[in-house]
Amino acid sequence: MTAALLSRPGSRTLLGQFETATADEAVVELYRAHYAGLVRLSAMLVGDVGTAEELVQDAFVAMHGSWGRLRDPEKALAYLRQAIVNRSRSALRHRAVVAKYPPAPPPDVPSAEHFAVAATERDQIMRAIHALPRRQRETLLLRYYSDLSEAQIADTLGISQGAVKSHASRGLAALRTVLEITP
Amino acid sequence: MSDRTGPFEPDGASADDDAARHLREVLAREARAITPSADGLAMIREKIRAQRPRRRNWVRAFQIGGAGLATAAVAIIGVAIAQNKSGTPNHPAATAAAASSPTTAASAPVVPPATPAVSPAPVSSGPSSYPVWVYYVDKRKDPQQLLFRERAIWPSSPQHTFVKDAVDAMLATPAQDPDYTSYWPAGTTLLSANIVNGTTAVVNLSSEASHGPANEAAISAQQLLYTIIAAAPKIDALQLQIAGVPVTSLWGTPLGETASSGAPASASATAPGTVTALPAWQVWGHVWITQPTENATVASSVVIAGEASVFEGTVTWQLRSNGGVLKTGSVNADVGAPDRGLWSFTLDGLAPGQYAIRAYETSAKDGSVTFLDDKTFTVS
Repeated sequence: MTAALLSRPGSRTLLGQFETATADEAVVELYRAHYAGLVRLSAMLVGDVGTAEELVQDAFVAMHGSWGRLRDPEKALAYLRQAIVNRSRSALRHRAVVAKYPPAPPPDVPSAEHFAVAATERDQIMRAIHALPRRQRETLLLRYYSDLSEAQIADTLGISQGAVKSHASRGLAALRTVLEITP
Repeated sequence: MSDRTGPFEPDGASADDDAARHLREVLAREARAITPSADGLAMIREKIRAQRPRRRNWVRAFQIGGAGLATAAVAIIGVAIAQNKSGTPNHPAATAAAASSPTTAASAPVVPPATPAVSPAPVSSGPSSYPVWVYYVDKRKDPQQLLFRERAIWPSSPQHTFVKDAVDAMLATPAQDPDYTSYWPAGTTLLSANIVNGTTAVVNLSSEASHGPANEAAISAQQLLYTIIAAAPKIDALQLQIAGVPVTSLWGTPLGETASSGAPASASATAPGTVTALPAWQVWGHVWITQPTENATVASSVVIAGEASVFEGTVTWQLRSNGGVLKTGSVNADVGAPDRGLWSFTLDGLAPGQYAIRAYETSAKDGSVTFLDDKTFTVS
């Protein structure tokens, strides 16, 4: 059905449906290219894959709803990143509040899935990352996992490029001890 | 998205380079250990569909039922089981049914789990449920008992009881793949789960858990522990209680002994009866197909994906239909054994019908098929 709509993009009567079709297409395309990476980013931010999946999916739904305004895969990807970082923050905040109430077992120290091989070192570093101030942690993950440019990170976090630079260098400096003792 | 070199590596700051490179490696490894579910796209589509106007009714139904959510969850468990048994995880249909009969959802609490199929409640797509990972034991023992993982949709509790949810799901949800099973006796329930010393889960199961097949005890303990770890990654050991009594053996098999071969993360957990996580390469199926899931319905172009810990990362695959082999090929995981890599490939232009995809390691010794996983799927 989508293909049929797309094959007649000029048809004015179909314009409404056409927009829906392209939003659907955008979801599929961005999903294929970026879903795994975004879930992993989010899982490292919130420390829980289930939560990460759910909020990344919700971000895709929101992107689908805003497609009429975005209209461009690059913008849509930037939108997804912002939405995911913001939603990951709220998830963490919510978790922190919830964790105060026993008897909920709090799986609050993040490190995504447990692989026994080399897990200790990785765990240690991931724990150190999660001990950092939020912006530093976000900056380091966007830079060293997602490979974003300074400008992209600034855009994602809604801060200046200068702030990105300083968060990155402070964050890395704070991690240096743990990164260096475990070569 | 993370393969290329960073666009702004520090120019002159060579002191940063080692630490930065190390951090990059650690994050890449951490990321590889996170496996997004195979049906994310289906979930997104379903949520998009659910957002369209009719949805409101059913959200409201859930809010009305909010006070009774805990009991609703019981009914939901029953329905989830029924859906799995019927082998047709037909999400869209479930959502539609829910939207058209909101009152059924609201009155769900009175439906006991034993008689679930009365109302096709909207379980698998509801806003108050979330995916949990559950491990199962492969019945084929190919070449030994190994663990495989599936995703179950479970009601989320407002307390975020991830460990409890995961164990409940494992005990109550039969595997979708008929090759997987759980040897935990039927009727076993979780009485309580606590975390002690930060990394040890103390799990108290009901008395049904006391008798099971002796040969399956060690792998079943690993199954339980890995299911907990998937929900709470910092956990690395398990102490089991049955009806409130700590046990040091399960089904006649001492617990804790299997740990002597030593996962690196388990050095500190040596108390008798403490089960530590064996390394993944020892207890996980060497080849997993994670996409499509068992009995999935897919389009004519389908992505086949999975994980593997096999020699040089080489996974062999076979596409079958009507008992015959349609296509074979091989694909490389991004890393080889002993690491666990991800692999995927796309099959295009499949005619509508039923298919089976098998993936396995071809033995370097004699070319035989080992560490097989297979999934049945339908092209619509």
